[in-house]
Amino acid sequence: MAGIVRVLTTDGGTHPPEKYAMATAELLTPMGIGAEAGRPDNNGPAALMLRAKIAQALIPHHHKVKHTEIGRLRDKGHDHLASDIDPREHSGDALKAVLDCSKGTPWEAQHASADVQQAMQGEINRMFHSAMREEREHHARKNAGHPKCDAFVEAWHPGSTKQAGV
Amino acid sequence: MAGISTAWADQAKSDVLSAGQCMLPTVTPTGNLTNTAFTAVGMSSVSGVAVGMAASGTGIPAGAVVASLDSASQITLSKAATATNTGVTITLTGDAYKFALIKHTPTGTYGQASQYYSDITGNSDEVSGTGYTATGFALTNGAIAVGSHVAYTQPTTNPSWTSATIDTDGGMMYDTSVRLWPGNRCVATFDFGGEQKVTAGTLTIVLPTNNSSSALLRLS
Repeated sequence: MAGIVRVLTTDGGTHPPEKYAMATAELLTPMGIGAEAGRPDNNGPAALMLRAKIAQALIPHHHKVKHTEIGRLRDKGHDHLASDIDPREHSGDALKAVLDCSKGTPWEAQHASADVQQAMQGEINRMFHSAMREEREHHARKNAGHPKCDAFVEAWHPGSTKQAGV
Repeated sequence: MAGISTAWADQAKSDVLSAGQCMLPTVTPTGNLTNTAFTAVGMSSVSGVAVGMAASGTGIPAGAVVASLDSASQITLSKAATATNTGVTITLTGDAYKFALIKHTPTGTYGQASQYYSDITGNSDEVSGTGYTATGFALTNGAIAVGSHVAYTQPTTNPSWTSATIDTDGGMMYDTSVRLWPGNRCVATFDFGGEQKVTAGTLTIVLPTNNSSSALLRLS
C-alpha cells in the first residue's frame, strides 16, 4: 500500500514555525495510539486536544530551528551549505516538550515506551531536517550563480544547474 | 478518465518480486582491497548489503556494483580494485529514487497502472515553473523495517521546493536506477487531495508517520 502524504505551501518564503509545528504534531499523535480495545481512541476529542497541545508546544522549537539556521547562514555564508544537516541539537528538547504534553492524558503510559519515544524522535528529526534544508535551499536560490549555492541546489534537484544554463 | 490516485503501482509490486528495486539505504562498512582483485575482504559488516548496490571508495573504479556476497566478511565487486588499501570505507548505495510533480489538471491518468516516469512526460504533465527542475527531487532511502507482519519504508527527507512557483495536483515516486528495462520505473503515485499552488515560496510534501500502518510504502 502507498501512504497518504500532505502538502504544505507558503507563498513568498519558507514555512512559518506555526505551520511546521502543526504538521509535526499530526505525525506524532498517532504514535503509540491505537483504537484497539482498552486503548485510547486515536480520533476522539481527547486525541485532538492532545494534538493541538503538542502543536503549540512545538512552535518555539520550530522557531529555534528556523532562526538558528538563518543565523548560521548569515554568519558563515555559503560555507554553511556544505555542513551536515543535523537536527539532533534541537530535537531532544522538542521530544521532552511533547512528552510533557501527554502527562496526565490516556497516552502518558504509551509515550513512556522507549520504542515509541524513539519513533517520535525520528519524526521530529525528519521535520526539523526539512525546515533546516529548506532554509539552506532558500539561501542558495537567492544566491544562484555562486558555485557552493548551485552545488547545494543541484544535490537535491539534479539537473538544476544545467536547466539554469550554468 | 484523467486524474491521480494514491497507489503503489502494480508494476512496482512485480518489480519487487523480480529484484528490480533496491530501496536499501546507504551503508559504509570498511574492507580491505587488493590491486587487480575483485574481492573486498575483512569487511566490518555486510548487513544491509545487497547484490547490485553501487560501490564507491578509494581504489574502487567508477560504476562498480556488488556482484556477490561471499560471506559475513567478504563481497565481490563487478570491477577490480585499482589500489591496495586496508580499512577502506566502501560506500554502498541502493537505487536512486526521485519524486516528480504532476501539473494541475493533468491529461493523463496516474495510479496503479502507472509504469514509468515517461508516463508523465509523454502527456506533458510534469510541473514546469520557477524552482522546479524537470525529473524532480532526489530522495534519500530510509531504513526498511517490519512491524505487525508488515514490511515498510519511506525516504528520510520530505521532498520540497523553495523559491518556487508551482501548481500541482500530485506526484510520482520512481526509480532512476536500471535493474529492469526500461528504467525510470514508477514506484507509486500520490494524489495531493486538490490543487496545491505556491508563488515564489515553499512547497513541501510531508511524508506520513513512518510505521507499519501509515508509512509511504508498505507490504503485508
